[in-house]
Amino acid sequence: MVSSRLSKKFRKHKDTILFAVCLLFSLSLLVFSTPAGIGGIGKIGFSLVSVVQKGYYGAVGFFSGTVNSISELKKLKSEYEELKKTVEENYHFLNTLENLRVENELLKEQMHISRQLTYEHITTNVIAKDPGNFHSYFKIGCGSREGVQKYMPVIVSQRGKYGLVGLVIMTGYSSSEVMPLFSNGCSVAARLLESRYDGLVSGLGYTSDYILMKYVSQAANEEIKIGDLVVTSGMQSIYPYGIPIGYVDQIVSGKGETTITLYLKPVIEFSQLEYVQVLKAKTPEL
Amino acid sequence: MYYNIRNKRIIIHFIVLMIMAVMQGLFIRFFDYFWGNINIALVYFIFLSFYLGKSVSYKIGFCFGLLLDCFGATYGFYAFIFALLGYVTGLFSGKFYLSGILLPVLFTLILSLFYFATGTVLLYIFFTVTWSRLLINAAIQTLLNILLSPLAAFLFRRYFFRRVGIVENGRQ
Repeated sequence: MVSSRLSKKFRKHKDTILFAVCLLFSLSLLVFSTPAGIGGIGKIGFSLVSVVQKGYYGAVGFFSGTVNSISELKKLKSEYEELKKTVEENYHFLNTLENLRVENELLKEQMHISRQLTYEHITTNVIAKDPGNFHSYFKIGCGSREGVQKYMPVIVSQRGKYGLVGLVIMTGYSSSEVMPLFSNGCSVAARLLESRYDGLVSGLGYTSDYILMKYVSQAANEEIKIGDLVVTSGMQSIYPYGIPIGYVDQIVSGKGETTITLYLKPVIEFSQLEYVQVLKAKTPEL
Repeated sequence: MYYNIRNKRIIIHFIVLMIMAVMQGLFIRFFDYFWGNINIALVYFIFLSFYLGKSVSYKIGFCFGLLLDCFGATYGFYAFIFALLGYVTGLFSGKFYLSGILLPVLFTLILSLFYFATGTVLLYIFFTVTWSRLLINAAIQTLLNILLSPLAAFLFRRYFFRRVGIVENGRQ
């Protein structure tokens, strides 16, 4: 009943109401689209429009940004892969460079020792070691083709010092086997550099850090000091004279014995052998 | 049948109004040299509203105004003015007969001034008003509208009024 009355009234004043709506709509459009207005209404309207616009552009920006970010992500991924590859290559290159640098230093050192040596020699590298027999016989990369013969002495230079490594016991065409100084079967005629006493140096096997110098005269007991250098004496005609062997570390003297035994610390580090020199000349002039 | 023809006519008049507005926009530079321009769309709208009556006129005015606003930077300015103008003009519909020269001229003068007054009020509220420019523009445009009004009245009387079949006393 009430609704029918209302609808009748609405029909009667339909034009007036619609007209008022049109005017209000126009005014609100004006209010919302202009920065100035009645008091702060215009500003509020403008701010609201700005907020709506910001929201709209924010939403549009978000979606376009999301869509763009997918393609951006793909691009970044491919760039990342390329960079990863480049980094790996550079890392490999740096490793190679570092290896070359170290090798270059080693070779320079070998070159230095080669120039110091006054007799004919062959510089070569260690190509094989027996992994089950630590510090035992090892192979070098030159043989009879290069003129290497059995019983040729082998020396090495480490950190500016050179010392005796051992001697060639077998030669092949392009490689040779070397018996190191610390091996049980190795014997070298040696001499204390300061006191000039002679003796015989022999190995204690690969498990020991020392080598022995036996048959040193008891008379030398008072003259020998810890740290004295022992060199080859040249008496065997295998090893040239004056090649450093080791430093005196312990002196053992038994009661009633005519000789004393010295424990020597080798001049070189056998576990770091890389490049060695095979001395060809039998007459030493070091 | 009658309403169909009438609606068609209204649509055609609306299109004509739009064409006039566009033409006016095209020639506005030329008329700007005289510190004012002729508003043929306004004259046309005034006479159209007079013959159609308030119930249709304010709707046409509102739509026409909205379209004009679309070309501008602000919305609602022309929609408000033309809706109000259409309603006010429609109130006179059927009250008198627009014959001769004096009556159309007076009619156009009053409604043009009303148009400018409404526009000025809106400008004053929502924008800034350059009074000198506005007054000169209003004076020149009103004068040009007045000069155009007898011709408009004649054309409407002769073609639109008879063909659509609107009765002179305002009853449709």
